[in-house]
Amino acid sequence: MTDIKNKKGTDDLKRLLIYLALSFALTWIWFALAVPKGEYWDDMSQQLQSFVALGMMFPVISHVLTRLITKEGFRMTGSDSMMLGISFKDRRWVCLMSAIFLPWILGEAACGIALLISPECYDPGYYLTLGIDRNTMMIYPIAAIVSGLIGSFAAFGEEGGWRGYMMPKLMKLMPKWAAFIVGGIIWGLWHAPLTCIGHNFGTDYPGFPYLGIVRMCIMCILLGILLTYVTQRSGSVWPAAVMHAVYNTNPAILNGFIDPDKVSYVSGRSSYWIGSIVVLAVAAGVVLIIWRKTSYEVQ
Amino acid sequence: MGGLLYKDFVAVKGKRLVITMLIATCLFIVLRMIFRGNNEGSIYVFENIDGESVNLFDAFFLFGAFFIIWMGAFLINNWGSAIMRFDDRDKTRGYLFSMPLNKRTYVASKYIFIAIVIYVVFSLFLIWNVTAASFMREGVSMDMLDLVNGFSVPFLSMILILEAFEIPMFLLMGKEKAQMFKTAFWMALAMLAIAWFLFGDLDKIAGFDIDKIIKWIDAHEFEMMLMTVLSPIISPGIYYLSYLTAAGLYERKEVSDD
Repeated sequence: MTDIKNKKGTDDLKRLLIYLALSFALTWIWFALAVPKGEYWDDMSQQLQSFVALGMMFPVISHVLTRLITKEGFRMTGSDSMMLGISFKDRRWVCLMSAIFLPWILGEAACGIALLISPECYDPGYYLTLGIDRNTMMIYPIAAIVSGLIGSFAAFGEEGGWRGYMMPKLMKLMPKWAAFIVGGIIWGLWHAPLTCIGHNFGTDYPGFPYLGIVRMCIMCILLGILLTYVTQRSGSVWPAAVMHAVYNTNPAILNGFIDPDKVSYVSGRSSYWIGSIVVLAVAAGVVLIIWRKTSYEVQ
Repeated sequence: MGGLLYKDFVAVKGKRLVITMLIATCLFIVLRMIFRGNNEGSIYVFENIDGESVNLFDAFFLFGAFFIIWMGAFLINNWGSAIMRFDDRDKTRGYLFSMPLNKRTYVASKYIFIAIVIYVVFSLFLIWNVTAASFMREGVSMDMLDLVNGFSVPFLSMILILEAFEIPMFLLMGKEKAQMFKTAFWMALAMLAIAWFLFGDLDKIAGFDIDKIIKWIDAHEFEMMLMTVLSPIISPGIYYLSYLTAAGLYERKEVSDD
């Protein structure tokens, strides 16, 4: 019995390593080819940034390739599946609703904390400098949520790999808490080439780019807990994809009233990141408590 | 539900199409990375009648993004009826209902299938659009691409609304009557267009200026955004209402094998 268990564990580890090798290799090759040499994120046009961001599709592509190599099959639902099906039974629709609206609430809370830390960031007309008029600002959160939803394929590209393959394997190989940390670090490191060219945190901060990579890993650990919870609770990667997509569009209306350049770097832009890490940590803590109480097991 | 969706996927020869589209998308991306366009002094840069520089590669990739959304719309419109016709063939529907299958689930599967196809078409369009735009500079090609992009969401929302009428029509009226009705509708539209070409004011076409539309869009950013935000909210609402109505009526209807 122990032998069978050990064999299964070794198989899972091998499969995970194949997946990670493919995911990292394909994405990093893509970044190397798509990003013009010597250019930073902010130097690129918005269109080119979107093109580079197509690299988000490689985790799910690697998931499919890994299943082809390891002959695991392509089951859509159930245990060891790709988790592509979606069900609204047993109040699972709550997961989808939370996935849509939670990033908005978290975003507003993060901005609120940022304003508390450095109130000098507040600028009632900041959104105008971003080329957004008053009317557009009023519907901004809804617009961001809708655009996140309809363009969720890119986030699906990531979640289909990380939550659809990596996390279930990690949770089989190690305790849940360790899986969150290891999974978050892997996910954060996967972003490293982009962090090194200034995506997410810019280039103008002390310890660039190493501190940025560490910061990304911390954010990925915290966000990963939320995304893994909705995936395991719903038995589908779609709520996680939606949550990730809406989180990326940053639907907080307060964003239009915070000028990160108005104050020194230390309290300015970083105050937003402190806010978002605090909010994510609280949300992740709540999720872990709920998870422990309801003890939903890995499928 | 999964089985019903897979049946429809097989009915429209989905596997072949998915593989073709994946290869085409990869090819499109690779070509774009090779032919980045915009190279100053290139022999592929021409001037249009307004004196604006147009790179032929940009124009080619712009056409790609334009093509994918039109082809997608055509496929959705075609598949809406094809998945219903397939069930009529060889009495598949009768066979389906000899199994413990809820009529409501059957109707839902049709609606879900088309909704998935629309989501996939839009996602594919976004990939082609992002690829086409990646190395373009500001100019007429970029303006055209923005125009296509700006209208893509309302356009696909309109297709969803069209399907909200087409699916119940095929379910409730049967394939022959529904096909006749559909053909009559498109013929009437075509006749109206021909009548307008014959007797209408053709000066409007002669004076048609795409720049005016682009300028209008630039000047009405909020309205465009409102349209982009509201259309994906309203159209699924209409689609869902259509499902409720169709499912309710279909439950009462006797299943005929046509």
